[in-house]
Amino acid sequence: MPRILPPRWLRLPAADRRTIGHGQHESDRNRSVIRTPLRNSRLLHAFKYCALVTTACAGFVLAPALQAAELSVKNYKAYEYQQTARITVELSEAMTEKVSVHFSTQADTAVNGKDFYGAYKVIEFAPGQTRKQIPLIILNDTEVETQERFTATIWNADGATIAKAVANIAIVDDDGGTDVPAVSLRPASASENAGTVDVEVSLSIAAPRAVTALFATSAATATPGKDFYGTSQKLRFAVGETTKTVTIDLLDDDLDEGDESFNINLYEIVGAAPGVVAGAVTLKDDDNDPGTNDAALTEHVLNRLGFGGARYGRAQIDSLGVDGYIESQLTRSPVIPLCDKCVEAELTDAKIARAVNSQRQLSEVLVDFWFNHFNVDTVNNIVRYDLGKYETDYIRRNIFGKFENMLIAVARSPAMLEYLDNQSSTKEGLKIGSRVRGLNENYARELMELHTLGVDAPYTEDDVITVARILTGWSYTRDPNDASRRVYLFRDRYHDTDRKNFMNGTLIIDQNEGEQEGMKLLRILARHPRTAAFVSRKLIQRFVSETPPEALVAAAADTWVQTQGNLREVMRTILMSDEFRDPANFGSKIKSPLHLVASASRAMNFGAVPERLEKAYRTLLIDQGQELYKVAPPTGVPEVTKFWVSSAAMLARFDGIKALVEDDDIRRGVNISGGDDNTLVTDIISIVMPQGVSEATKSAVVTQVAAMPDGATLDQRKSEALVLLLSSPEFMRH
Amino acid sequence: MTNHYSRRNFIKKTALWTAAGTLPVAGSARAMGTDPVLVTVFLRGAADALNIVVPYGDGDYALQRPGIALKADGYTNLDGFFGLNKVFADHLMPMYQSQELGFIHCAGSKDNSRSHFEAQDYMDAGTPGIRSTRTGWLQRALTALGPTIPHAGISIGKQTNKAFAGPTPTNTMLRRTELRKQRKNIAGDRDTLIEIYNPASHPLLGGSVSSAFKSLDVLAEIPNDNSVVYPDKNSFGKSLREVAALIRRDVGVRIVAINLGGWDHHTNLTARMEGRGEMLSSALKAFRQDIGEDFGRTLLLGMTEFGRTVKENGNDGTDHGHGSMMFGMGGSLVGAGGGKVTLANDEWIGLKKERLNRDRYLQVTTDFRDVFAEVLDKHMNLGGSFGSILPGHSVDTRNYPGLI
Repeated sequence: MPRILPPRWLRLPAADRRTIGHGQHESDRNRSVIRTPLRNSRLLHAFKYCALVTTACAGFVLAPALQAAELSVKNYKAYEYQQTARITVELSEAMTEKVSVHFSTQADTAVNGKDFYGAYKVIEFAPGQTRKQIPLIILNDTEVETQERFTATIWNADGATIAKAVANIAIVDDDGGTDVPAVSLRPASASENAGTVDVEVSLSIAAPRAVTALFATSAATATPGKDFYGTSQKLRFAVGETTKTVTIDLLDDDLDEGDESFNINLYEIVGAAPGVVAGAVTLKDDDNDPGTNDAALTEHVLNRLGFGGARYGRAQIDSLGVDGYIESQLTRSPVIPLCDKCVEAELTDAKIARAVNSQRQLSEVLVDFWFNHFNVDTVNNIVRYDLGKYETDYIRRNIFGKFENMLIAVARSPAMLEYLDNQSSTKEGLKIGSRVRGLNENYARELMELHTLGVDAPYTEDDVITVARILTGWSYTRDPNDASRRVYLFRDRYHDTDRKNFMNGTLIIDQNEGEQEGMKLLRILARHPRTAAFVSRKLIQRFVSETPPEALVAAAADTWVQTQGNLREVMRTILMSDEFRDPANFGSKIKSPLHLVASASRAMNFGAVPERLEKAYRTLLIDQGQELYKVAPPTGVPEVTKFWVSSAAMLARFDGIKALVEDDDIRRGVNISGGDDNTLVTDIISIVMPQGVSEATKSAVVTQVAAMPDGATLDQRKSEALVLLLSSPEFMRH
Repeated sequence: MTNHYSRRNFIKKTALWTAAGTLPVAGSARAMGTDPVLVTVFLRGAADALNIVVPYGDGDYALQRPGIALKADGYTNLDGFFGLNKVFADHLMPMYQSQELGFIHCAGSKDNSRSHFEAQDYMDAGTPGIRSTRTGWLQRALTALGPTIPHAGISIGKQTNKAFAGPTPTNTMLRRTELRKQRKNIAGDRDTLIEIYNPASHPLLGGSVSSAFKSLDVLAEIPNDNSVVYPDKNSFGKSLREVAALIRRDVGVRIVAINLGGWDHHTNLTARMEGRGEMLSSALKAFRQDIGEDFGRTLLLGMTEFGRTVKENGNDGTDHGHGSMMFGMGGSLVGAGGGKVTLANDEWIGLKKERLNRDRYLQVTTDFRDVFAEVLDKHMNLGGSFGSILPGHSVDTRNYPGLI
């Protein structure tokens, strides 16, 4: 093709001008491209005019100069409470053609799914546009943290070059992180006859100015004037001072009343993170009636807050008291990613290992509870390759945070988007290729029925459709770094932009708000009193009683509403309640297969499950009817545990217990010194079930051990007694 | 209430039908049981009736489902109006033609719940709309049968089927091979376990353990003499293989409950229905061949918790709806509900919006409790116990679908 020179007035100084080849688009095939910086708007207009009304410029297109326009992404500082961070990407000058660049976030000390929601998208600058803001969701957790950061990166620019590719995004903690000193209380305990108890109040970092706070005691199970002298005093931390000790006088009595506790609180904090700091002091009863069974309460706590009694837990309860132990369990275990692509088998192994071995047992029970609450079934690889993140980043990170954070994380997870089909739900009549798409109600319905409000809440069939419409666009796309995975993506094009009225005016969307509509909806659902009651009831079924005491449901739901779904506070209300300690609830539940297998291992002081036994453990669970990560219905398994009882399951339990005990390594941890049959069985009971068993069970076990051949070794007799005791009806319950 | 269909009639009918020589004689010579057996198959997840028993003769069917309506090559004609999804028809047409298989369309629960768990609970309890029912309808049917051995009622799987929920222990099993292995492993502890699981002290656990041990020897010793090879990689087929063996050996099994999940087809319905349909119908076909003469006293009753939206959704699937279908399979369908699609009052209500439930869902014209009632009455001879088995439902024989 002959080379055509541009009109004279388009002949720019050589430094600014490069004519390169031909245009890439169909319409530009036969035109030369002039790349030029378009600072000169007069020139731009002239060219447009020229191209429109004359033929002189028809052979050319103007394109941005190769070196000219530059893109940069700006640093940003966000506060946790802000909810949305707007990251700016700037183009140094207006261009005549579209400029695009890829944008993504990378977690650093701030964690994706916990502190913020990452994004990956392609940003397009329309001709003339120089500034784009990318909204990112910032999650407000309740943990005291240092300032955290993540980064935003732009790359793969088309039509401009990149001047600043990486921006630092800081999230400033508002819960009293290192930037702001925070006051804390250390839970204390003392024998009721100790005379005084010291409570330590400390500052997280030395403050640049004096910090004051009001310290006050209040009654819980212990009564001021009877068990202790109440106090209310102002504490003042001088500059640089970080600890203070408050001494509280105690009153001894002669009642066998069990351990009691009273509350300690800090109010009116000035100069440090604001709010109310709560703690408790446990008073240990020294008037033990030998008839009362503290071991029963200890085993109850270890079985409800964990997977059964074990040495470590018992020692902890001995030293901290029951309240102190519960308080110590209300912190999350560290989040350790397991492996890059953990699938069912590895996750099951990890779950069993943690159930058997973790010291933060409550965290493990809660991860189990919440995974089941937000059950996904491994229907395909999209769910499968998200499972590890699903359990770790979306569930585990949020067990003591706000419910809405977990709800939102789950709603955005590729696993849930795939399992309940929201990823493909679009506004009615959307044409994609030759296909006409529309709504899918699956997730919308289960979101209300199972995840939040409960089936009895007053939502209608129309509300199901409205929720589905609000959530259109919540979808996923291929992970740019790993084609086998998906990452969350809001698809504008899928979104239904019409007016919406949810639950009779509870949420009205008049004008399209895109993704924010779903965020609003999820927050409303998460904080709704029906959700508070429905989910609290389920938690109480798990932790207290399968026929939940209504007063406790009301108390937990109240905490939920007051704290906007702070799950640590809800758990504290449930676990610190009288109902939790009511002996009528001891042993009222049937252990799940996971609980049975883990508690049998723990009872025998078996530590880490070695690799050679992993498959055997997995098989034990499946034989007893529990295949983890393979529960098909969105309801998960019921919290009513008689579900696990059947003739087939009981045979499998006996078979499984026998297999565990007969492994030499597993039963090795049960150390007994011998003696006659009765002594041997008594000693073993004190190790595996310190709360005791019924006389009928014990005597049947003694009889069977006594019936063993004369040559039976101590280990054989121990093994026989263990098989029967761990197979006993008492051990099946908790 | 008069049983217009007595047990005597039932046996006579079976005998006639057997004499007609339509059945292959399976296995070796053995005493054949005479007690009727009910096998319930619960398709959990809400199966889409309209793409199983296809009303192709209704012009609105294709209009409402432009993307997923089955075309002529996707079903086999049944009666000039309905067609059977080809995946099902490939295995089941011979049984349909010999009148051993029949469908009831627009069947389901009068309750409008569209929650899987709630609607399943209602159907298992046999009392739609009532949350407080603590026992399942099959448990109550067993009680009505009188004192029975624990394996008179068997759930196939690891958990007790909800229809068997209740105080009377029933049995649960997955595979005989597993029972044999367990029996061997725990032989030495068996007596002591029975002793410490005294049901008087431990009602729930003791009941299950005693029912396990009472039936263990009988069940474990049923030999592997199934007369056909069941389809490969088909867990449902493997389960039906156990069911056939239980019935053929006549060890006293009266009611078996089995689940097949995976019917919640919100997306990509056609392909997913193919997978489920193949699993279900190839297994049913093998079961039919395997069970031989005992097919005459066996009734297999299929159900699902509700149907799905008449109109397809935006993802080539369907969402939760209302009316669905049920099916029966067994020798006693011949000359009655076999070989046809039964409709209440012989009327197809149509798929026009104004004829639907809430403008969106298939109506329920046959109450599932009337199907249960007919089966209990005519097949299980329990017509005298409706008061306890189907409380709150006034049974009128004129409402029977005429399945048997």
